Amino acid sequence: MERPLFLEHCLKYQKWYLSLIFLMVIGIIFVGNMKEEKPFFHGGESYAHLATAEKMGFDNVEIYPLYLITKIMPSVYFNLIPLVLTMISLLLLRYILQKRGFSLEFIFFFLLLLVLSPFFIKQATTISSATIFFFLFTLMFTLLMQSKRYLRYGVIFCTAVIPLIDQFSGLIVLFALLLYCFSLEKSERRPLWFGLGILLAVMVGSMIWLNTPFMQGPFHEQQLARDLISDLGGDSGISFFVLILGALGFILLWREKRIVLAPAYLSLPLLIPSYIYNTEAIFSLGMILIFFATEALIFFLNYKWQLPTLRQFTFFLLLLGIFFSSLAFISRLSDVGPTAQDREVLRWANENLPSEKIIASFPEDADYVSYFTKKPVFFTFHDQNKLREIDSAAIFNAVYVHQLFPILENNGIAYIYISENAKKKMSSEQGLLFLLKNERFKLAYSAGEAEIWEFE
Amino acid sequence: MERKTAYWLIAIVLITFISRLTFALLVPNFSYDSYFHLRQVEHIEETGLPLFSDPLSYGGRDLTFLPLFHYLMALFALIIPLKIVATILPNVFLSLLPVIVFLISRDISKSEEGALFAALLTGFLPILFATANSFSTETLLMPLLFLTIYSFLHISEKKYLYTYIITFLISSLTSPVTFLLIMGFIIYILLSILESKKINKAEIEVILFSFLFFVWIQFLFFKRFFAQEGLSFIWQNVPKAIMAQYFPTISLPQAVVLVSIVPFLAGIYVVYRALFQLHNTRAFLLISFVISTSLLAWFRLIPFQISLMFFGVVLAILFATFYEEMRQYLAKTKFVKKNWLAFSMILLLIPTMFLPAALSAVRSETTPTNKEVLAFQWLATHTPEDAGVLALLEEGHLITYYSSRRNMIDDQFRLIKDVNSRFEDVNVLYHTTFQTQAIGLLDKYDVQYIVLTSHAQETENLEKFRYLTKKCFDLVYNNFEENYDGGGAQIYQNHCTIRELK
Repeated sequence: MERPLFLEHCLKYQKWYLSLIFLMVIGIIFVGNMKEEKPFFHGGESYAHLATAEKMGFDNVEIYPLYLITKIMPSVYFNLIPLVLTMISLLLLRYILQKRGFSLEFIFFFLLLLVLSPFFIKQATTISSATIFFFLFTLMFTLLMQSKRYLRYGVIFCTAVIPLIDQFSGLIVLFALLLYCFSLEKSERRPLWFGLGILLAVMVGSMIWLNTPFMQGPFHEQQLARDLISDLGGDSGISFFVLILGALGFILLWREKRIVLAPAYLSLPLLIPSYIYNTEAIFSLGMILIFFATEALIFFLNYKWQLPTLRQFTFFLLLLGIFFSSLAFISRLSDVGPTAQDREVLRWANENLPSEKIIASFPEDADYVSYFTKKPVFFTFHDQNKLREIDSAAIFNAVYVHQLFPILENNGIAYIYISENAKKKMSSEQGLLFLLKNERFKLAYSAGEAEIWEFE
Repeated sequence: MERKTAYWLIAIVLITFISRLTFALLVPNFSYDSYFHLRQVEHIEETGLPLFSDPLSYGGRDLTFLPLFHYLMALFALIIPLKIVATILPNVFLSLLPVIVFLISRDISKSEEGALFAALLTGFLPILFATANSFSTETLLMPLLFLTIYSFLHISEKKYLYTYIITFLISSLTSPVTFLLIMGFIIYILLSILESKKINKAEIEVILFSFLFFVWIQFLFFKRFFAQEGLSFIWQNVPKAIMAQYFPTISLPQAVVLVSIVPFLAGIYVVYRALFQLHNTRAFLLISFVISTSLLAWFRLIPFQISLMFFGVVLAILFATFYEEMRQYLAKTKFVKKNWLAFSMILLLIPTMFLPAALSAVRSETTPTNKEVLAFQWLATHTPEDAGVLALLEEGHLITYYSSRRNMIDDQFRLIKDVNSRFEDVNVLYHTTFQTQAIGLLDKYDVQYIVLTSHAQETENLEKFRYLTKKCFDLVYNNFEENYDGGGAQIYQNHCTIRELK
């Protein structure tokens, strides 16, 4: 099929177009945050890592690079960390795809769908395990594809670091390297075997001595459908249109016997259960779904349509739908905390509250509360502490003081932080907000709708 | 088409239209839900925009709905008074449905006589006839959906491709129920694969396009709703307590009466023949729609009434095939005279179809009485502009339309956060015996007036509110006593409030 002229131009100058789109997406988020005086990072994960980096010790050795960066870099530039890493990863990914013989068309659409996917946008604006993993993963394969032997041995560095992120990342690398191994000549496999050996050793070692979790997080309340489809209000995921294309791609490619498809199909039995276990696995699952979606897109593009009029309409709709989902996601980011008012209250708490006192907050706010106040928080999602999770839910769902006070007293909670977003979700006529009118609570500080209450 | 057939078809359309209009004029006022649409059309007439941010519904809220029907009606309302447009146009749309049904039936059965019967059945389908007083999107949607299906059957011809695209676009912008088509198409593909039938490439292309377009339109309009509700958007935020009313499980006898017993039995026969004996591709498509409608209604994904409407029309179309097969069979037996079948069919249809149709059209519980409407109009002139009014859920739009006052609840549930507790509170306000509880709730929702209509008395099994005392509540309007001729309403004003003592 003859391609439209515009598409030809896009394919030819794809590096520029993709960079421009990526920068535009990030630019919109950046300007939006500036306008609302919000910090660059949304949600909890970045703050969770930054807070851990401040308390660096032997048990969280994986955070050392971040610790080092935070020591030498002023905090205003922290937002550059995920941006730069993602940008480099994208370039490396493009290099890998080219080296593996993917068509220009595939590379362009794959990267376009990736750059516009909410999970990728989130990752590019968050200091997250996925950001580090993506960077190391692409770096590892780039090194493996080098002709110079000493560069190929560089893979050892990546395989030694990746399992420190979490066991799941280690498993993915193990799986990817084993599959890659089959596509290499026997003589070229040596660096890879070294890498695999190191990987296994570090995986076992980190499991025994460092208690590395199977997967980082979760950093938000998990919901399978929402976390997969961003259009359903999730703070990550992929567009519904990409999911449809992915499903079509999965069906269309089923009968094809291309070797390149094997990793995509074989990875699904690992990724789908992992996603159900912890939706933070969306990054890897999303990548595979985008792979299928790209294949489907190219299939329909090259397919001889009986109704050519519909061909243009359909492509236009697809692209429109994907762009629309991305824009809807970006516009929703402004609703995610912390807001300027939240930060103001937390800054006050940092300067004025005693450092050993425990603060209770909505679990989705807890990570940034901990980072900004430098004080212990009662419960975060990634604590994986069932008892505290139950108590935390009981605090925010309490209807009577006799339900609330014993929990606060038994856990030594001295302050309750109500973020702007949390306040929107709560009723002022009953529940916690109503109970805060009790004489044992004193409003310590407030800015806008964000408040911190002292419990006496 | 033969000239004689054309005359018969015109006659069916005219008879359908005149009967519908007669019943529409016999019954006073529109159905309860129509007042929402009337208000939207009026707003478009005045401002050019739908009322997406309604200050009166639920005491002020954001609304999401597909506005094409309202724009179309507003266009007509520019030259004809809205009341006439609302009475005539929906009936015109539904009276044209028999023409489309005739065309589809003729294609499938290859019989003009059978197709004429299908058209007649459609015109007097009890479930469709019950909408004679309804000013709602379904009246436009039904003909559109079947026109889309007709175009799909001829999709390889260019003019039908364009007709398909246009009708599908309009349907998608009229109601989310268009999902019925998409679901039907998907089942059609699955059935064809199961039967190892080769699917026309053009059909697949059209289905893909339709699916993507439909999804895109829904995301465009309901973006906020999807984001707020997540996956539960499919139940449209209907309060749990009335889920059964909106999506009731199908009771077979009720369904049979509403779609009429003759097409129902004929439909079952045709579906059986098409699936297991004839393997007719065109019938496959219609059967797919029957399956999709049943599935969607079963899983409570579309309102029961709409699924029955669609189901009834599809059965009417399938009836044409049944009629033709019957005619051919009887012709072989040489047992009966030429017109015996047609005559006996008409005899059979009178008690099973036309009578239930007439009865469902004049059912009074779907429309407010004149006296009730007068009470709501009184509120507009005798209460402060910012007053809040309590009435039943279905009467909510009467408050916003006739009284121009804030209501506590109506049937537009999307984007309402506390819809379950609101619905429970309305129930409490109708049934509690405790005055403090009632006044507390009236305070909570800032409601000063409560309306008790004869409809509320009937549906709630209630003589009067049990917490009324002269100290707190004044009877400010009452037309129950004046020449009781069915219907009426009382309006009370609340003077009391509950406050903490300092």
